[in-house]
Amino acid sequence: MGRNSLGSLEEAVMLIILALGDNAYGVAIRDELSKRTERDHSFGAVYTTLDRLGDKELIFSWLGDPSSVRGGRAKRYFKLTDAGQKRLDEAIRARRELESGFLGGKLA
Amino acid sequence: MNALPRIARQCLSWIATDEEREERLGDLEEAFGHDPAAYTRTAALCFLVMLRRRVARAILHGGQDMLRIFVWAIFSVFVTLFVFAVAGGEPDILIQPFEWAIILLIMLGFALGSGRAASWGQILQDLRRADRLKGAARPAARASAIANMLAAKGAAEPNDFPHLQTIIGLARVSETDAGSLIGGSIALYRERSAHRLQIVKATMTDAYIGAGIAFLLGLIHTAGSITEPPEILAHLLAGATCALFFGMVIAHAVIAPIGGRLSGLYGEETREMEAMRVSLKGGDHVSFAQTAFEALTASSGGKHPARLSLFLGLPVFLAILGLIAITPMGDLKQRLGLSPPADQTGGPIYFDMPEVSLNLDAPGQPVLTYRLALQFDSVPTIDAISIKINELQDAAQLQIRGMKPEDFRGSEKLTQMQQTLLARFNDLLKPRQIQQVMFKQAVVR
Repeated sequence: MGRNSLGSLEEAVMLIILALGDNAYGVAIRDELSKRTERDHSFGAVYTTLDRLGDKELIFSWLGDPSSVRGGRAKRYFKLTDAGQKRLDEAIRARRELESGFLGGKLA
Repeated sequence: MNALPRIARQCLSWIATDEEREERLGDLEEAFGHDPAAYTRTAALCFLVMLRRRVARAILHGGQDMLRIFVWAIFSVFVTLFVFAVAGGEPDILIQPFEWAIILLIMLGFALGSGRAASWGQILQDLRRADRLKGAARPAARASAIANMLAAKGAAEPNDFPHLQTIIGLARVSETDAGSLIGGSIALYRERSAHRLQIVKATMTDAYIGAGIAFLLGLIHTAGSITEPPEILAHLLAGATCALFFGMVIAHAVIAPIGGRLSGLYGEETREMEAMRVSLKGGDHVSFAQTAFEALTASSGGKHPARLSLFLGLPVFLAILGLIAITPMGDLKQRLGLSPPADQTGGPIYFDMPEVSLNLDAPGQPVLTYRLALQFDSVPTIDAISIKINELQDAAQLQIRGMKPEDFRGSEKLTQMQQTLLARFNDLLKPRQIQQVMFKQAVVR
């Protein structure tokens, strides 16, 4: 998959980061992803996707406060960059156009 | 917690950056804190994913900057040696310690005399700073580390961002003056970084000046040895020319990459300072991270699609080149089909020793005037002979003095003497060897 294309898991993770707002961190993203897609996603897959999105400069991250339930470790929060927001909008629009094409029978 | 989760956690800690350690171990603790089996399984998976990423990153980005500069310096020298050998050059000629020493001493002298030596301390510190954050060349990692520093989470060492410490300090002084003070600080930083880059450029020039001086000294040495045989003169001249090559190697394989890396670092840091000037008005470290990130990525220029194949192919290319370069050069030329075997290469080489007159240990002490010629097949043997010429002359005189005038009339005694001298000379010239000692002239009066 090329650097400029957006995979389906990448798109899903970006949507979830957007939906979670200020609470978008590893565990929450993975839980929400598993819930929405009704599939159990491993942390490895989620981290790989997050790293890839970071490499593509579509998301950025920062460390939050440490918490006792995490063994005194901090959470790493994620947010979409402007470029990420734009890319997500484009991907959603492209998919909607494709879907409307199918539904309208234009591609039949 | 039993041993397995602990081992998995240790492996993950070992390979992760500071930020990743916080995030991933925290996530694992939160999600699987009460399920050691799931914790171990997930930690092991995360470790493997991270390991794969580290390896890919090392290939793509060539490791840390200091290491990359070193690798490129070695690469440049290997390529030069390879081309030199293929073109028919003898690698031994490049072993010219005096030329290296002259150039380095001249560079050191210039650096001390002009006061640039102290600035080089700062420059090396800057290079180390660029290396310190793992993967810190990535704008996202830098912006994130700065945001953490601002939020005082301690994830980033303040020493990694000394240029921003000043700005943070200034912003706290007075809200009304902060803007102009920070502007002044950025201008000062730009001036200082331009000065350091100037010093790197001046050092490159020093390397060329050193090479020029070493070349001239080599020419003067050659001119002073004008009575020597052409083989020795050619060798001296080649040594002088090598000085120019050494100067270029130092300037372009060592100093120039340092300048390139510093230029990149100063560019990044200036953009970060500008981003901080804008975002400090908002007083929010998260908004800074975003502003800094956008500022850095906007001018990062993107990555070249061909980079992956280039960096995958390069180590293979380097390995092949390295193997060829360390192969004895004579063999190399034969393997490449560029030259015939050594015994056919241009035929034997002859070296004429100076003419000598001495009294033989015989009644009437007749005078013998003789001249020896040495035959060998390796150019570097000329060097060995010229270094040991006095010892060779002494050894020859010692043996020849005991001969009688009639010994020079027949061939038996002369052949015996040639064999004796050959064994003695080869003993003195070790590890070099000559094939034959000949009497070019032998007159008894």
